[in-house]
Amino acid sequence: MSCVPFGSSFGSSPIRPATVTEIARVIKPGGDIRLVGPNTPEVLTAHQQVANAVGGRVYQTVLGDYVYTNIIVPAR
Amino acid sequence: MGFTFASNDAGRSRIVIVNEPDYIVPLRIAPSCLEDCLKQGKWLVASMSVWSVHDIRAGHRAIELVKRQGGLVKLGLRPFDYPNENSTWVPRLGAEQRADQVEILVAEEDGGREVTIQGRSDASPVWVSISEGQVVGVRYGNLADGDIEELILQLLPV
Repeated sequence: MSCVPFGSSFGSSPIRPATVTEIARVIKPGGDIRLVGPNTPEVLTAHQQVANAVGGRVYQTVLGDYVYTNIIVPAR
Repeated sequence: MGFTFASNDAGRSRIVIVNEPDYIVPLRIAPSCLEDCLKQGKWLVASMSVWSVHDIRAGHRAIELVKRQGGLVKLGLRPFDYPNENSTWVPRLGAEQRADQVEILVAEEDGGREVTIQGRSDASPVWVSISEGQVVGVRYGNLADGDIEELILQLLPV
């Protein structure tokens, strides 16, 4: 399991459907995902898709034009 | 002042200009071709990735720089999702500019691995200067104020 990510961060990069699937596949149980992007419809949708794909606790904050989403993946 | 994003009928980004002069113009995402309004007058168009904080900050800077010319040059602000959407209105867009460009950083720590994926700051915004429908300059990336002013000034008579 040492070759899988413990944590992942995305900042100002596109999150495509295949990316969502890959995050859900490789994220380690107990890991965390930090997503940062502008407060745009595409970004909000992508953050929600990642949260839905991995489950866990989701903390989302909108500050000005930006949205921050932290996802804590359950330790299975 | 500036602009914000709203959702259009298809759930895609639409720029909303807030308390700016009428020569600061929102342009639609993913046009099929260069819009008619861009074929008249002098324009600087900033096409910004909806994923990039850097691009949006650059768009706000461009507003301030264009306003210094008092409306001699119009500013078009356009959102894009996929870079390929720019190929319908920017001539000779290279293969590199039609694909997502990201940097991937990996750090090992305490037996775990952290992966950071971020957009490349030299890929967008896409800056296009247009005079009477003719594209006279194209630049890419997070330009300094002086570089943006250069794009504006090349549209003005000497």
